Amino acid sequence: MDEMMNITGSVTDFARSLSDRVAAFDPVGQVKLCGTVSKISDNVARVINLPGRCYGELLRFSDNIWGIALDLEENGVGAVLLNPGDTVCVGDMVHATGHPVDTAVSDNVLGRILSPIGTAIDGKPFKPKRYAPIERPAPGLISRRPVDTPMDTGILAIDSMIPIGRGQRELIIGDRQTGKTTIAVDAILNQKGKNVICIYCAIGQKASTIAQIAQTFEKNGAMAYTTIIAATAADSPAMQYLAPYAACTIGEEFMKEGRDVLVVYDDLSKHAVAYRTMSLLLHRPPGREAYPGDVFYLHSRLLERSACMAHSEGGGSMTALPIIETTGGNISAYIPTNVISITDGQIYLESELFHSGVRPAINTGLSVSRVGRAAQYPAMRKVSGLLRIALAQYKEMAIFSRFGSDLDENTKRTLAKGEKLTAIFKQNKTRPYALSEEIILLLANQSDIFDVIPSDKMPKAIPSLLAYCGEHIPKVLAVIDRTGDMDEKTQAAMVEAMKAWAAEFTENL
Amino acid sequence: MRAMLQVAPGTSGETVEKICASFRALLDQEVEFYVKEKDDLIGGFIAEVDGKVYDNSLSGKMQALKKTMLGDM
Repeated sequence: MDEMMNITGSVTDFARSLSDRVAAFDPVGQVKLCGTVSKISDNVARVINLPGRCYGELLRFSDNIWGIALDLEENGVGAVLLNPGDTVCVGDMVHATGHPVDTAVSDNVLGRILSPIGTAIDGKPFKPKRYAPIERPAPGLISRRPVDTPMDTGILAIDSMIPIGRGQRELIIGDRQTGKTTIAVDAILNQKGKNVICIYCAIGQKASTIAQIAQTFEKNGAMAYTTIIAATAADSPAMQYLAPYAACTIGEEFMKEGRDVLVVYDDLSKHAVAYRTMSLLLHRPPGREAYPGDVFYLHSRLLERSACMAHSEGGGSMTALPIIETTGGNISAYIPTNVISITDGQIYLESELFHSGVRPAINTGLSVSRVGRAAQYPAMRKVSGLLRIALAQYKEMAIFSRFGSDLDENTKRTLAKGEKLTAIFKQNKTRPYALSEEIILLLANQSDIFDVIPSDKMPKAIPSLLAYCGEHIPKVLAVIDRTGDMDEKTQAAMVEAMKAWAAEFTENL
Repeated sequence: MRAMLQVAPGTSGETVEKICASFRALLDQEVEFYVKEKDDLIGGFIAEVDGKVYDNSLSGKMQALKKTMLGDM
């Protein structure tokens, strides 16, 4: 191809080059190896007479059915089928492709919904430009640099107290129906206009859920920079096993070009279950909770491929937001503890908070970002310093206040401030905040602007404040959004505007 | 031993017999061929014998030519 691209001459030169290639072509027949299916059950085929296969090699069965060689034995190969194997019979021929499983990678995957092996499942034609193997080693130590650029999620609680940087792995963990996917989707929606490629990998989910998410992306203009890799609950365990690796490979290709990528794995609990299913069918010895012994490696080799690359390697990054579903709030179960130890922090969502109306239902006590303030804008650092402590003190006071009726002024003030701070962190779904909006809310809290607002009026006060500032100090907000910083003059102007808003708002109460 | 022989439409019985005889001589064994006509071969044959696929079809050669012309594109 380079040879072709270097031709700056005429069409004649191009034609001559082609003609040389044709002249050098030797039309001999080809001899390829093929094996035979000796046993087929539960979508696992045993293939004999096919020596020299690699681990993870793609095999072609009859009727366009594909499998992966996962068991390499002396007298045959155990292959897990990617498609339903109803038509595969004992005695069928199996052809080796000679290469491992790969997926489609290139710019034209953006805006599409694809299967893990690069076929389109959104009903539109798709012609992949390139393929890349789904399993690749993670970048080495020297190729990386420390995480120093914020990855804005647009969710105030996360950006202020659990900040995520580009190249970080931040786990989203919680029980079913606690808003895990909503956080990931909002993070993707917030990347609009920020030159970040997003990949949403759906593993073992309902097709209707994936369709809904795709519709949300479409409605909010996110599909232009997003690819969805889907292995639904109806797909084989092998497809569900491949899905996150395929998503990672697509992200890596963009990262190599120096781009920033955000990849969401939703969810790795189902991924572990699919791998367990495959391993048990391959008769691999079961370990704890019947998972195979290499279930840690299953996730560690995936998540280690997310990195912040050194400038000499292009300077790109891949941020991973893996999702894990717990049962009964138990974050010390097998798979959750595995993934917590791999990632650079976790966002813990609680059912109790969710049902009491605190959404996003983030437990700030148990959530952490190991990258921390290095991944925050300077403006955010100035206003988010004492938030965790304030919330922790409020929670302690709130428990204590249930027992006593006579509270001193200090306690009442702390309780009122804590209630309002909790209200500030509540956010509607698909409504990510811009940086300037987050700074407004936190600065208002820091400057005690909300002290004059009754707690029950906070849901109305917050959008009112944001609209007021958007109308009266748009240039100041634009500077914050552009530079990520605010000087004392900017801060003073914002406080002035907020005080004027508070006077107006309380007048109309 | 059993084997599969796919030939292009219009291949004469004599040609098929010659192909089978060549394989019997090559493998030095008695081989029972199951012969099938396949339209998309264009010409030539594909034989699946003893764990190997012998692709001497025109379509296979055209695929190889396409790969040669495209190079590493």
